[in-house]
Amino acid sequence: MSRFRPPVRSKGDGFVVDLGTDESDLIRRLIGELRSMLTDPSPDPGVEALLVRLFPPAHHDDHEMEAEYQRLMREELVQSKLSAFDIVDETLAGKGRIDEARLLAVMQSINSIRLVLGTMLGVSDDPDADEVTAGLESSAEYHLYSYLSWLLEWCVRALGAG
Amino acid sequence: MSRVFVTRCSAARHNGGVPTTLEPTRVIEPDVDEQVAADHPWIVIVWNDPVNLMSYVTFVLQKLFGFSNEKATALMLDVHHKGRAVVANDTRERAEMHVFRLHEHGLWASMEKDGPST
Repeated sequence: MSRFRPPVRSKGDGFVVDLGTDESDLIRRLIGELRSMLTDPSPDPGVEALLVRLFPPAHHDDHEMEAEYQRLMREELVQSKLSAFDIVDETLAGKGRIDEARLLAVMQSINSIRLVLGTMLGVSDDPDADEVTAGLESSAEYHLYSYLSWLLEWCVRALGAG
Repeated sequence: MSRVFVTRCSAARHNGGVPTTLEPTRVIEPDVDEQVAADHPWIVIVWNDPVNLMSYVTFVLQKLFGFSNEKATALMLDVHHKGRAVVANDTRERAEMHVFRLHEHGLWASMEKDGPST
């Protein structure tokens, strides 16, 4: 049995993201799905609802300012996420060292997927409620969410050490 | 509303969202409301949410605001236990940029005016 190697680690003056082929393919597929959701010119309400955590309100107490913020910034935020997704694809397609800016983009993208899965699963930290919607504790989505949390922790650990 | 905001957003797009002192691309003549708003501090708030990991929130606060690990951890714990924490106090423009960058990282952030305008 080979020694465990962190999936994300600092190396020299950069970082490596070292995933198996299956894991890379899975993440690139999820990124592809999220890209389609974000670029769909007329998404159905179900898709919109899944994306809610990606676009939090900036002004809770002023509807006019909030509308203005969303009008000006939502597209910026979408473009920022799409640029980060491109970096994930490039990073997972190659095996070379990446710089901090690229690992930050990978980290943000992994979290974007978690935010959508978390919404899908109804994740809650209410002590009186189940952690996820009843019946979903053993779903594939929940295992995927847990896996991405683990991967995100390694990104944070590598960046904190780098 | 604010032409200043649009210009700043467009400047920020080209440098990864980092607030800069780049010259605006056109002459801006702010109206009175904008000047009043710019003179008064706004607070940037991060809210608790069940999806973002504690280690991730701590790291993002350190990265975006240059906080020490101790300070970022204390703010993260405030978010976790009290439901929210004020992470910045700034002009409206800069508060908007902070909120945008927190949203880029998926944190639940908002801004509001700090106290009554006098």
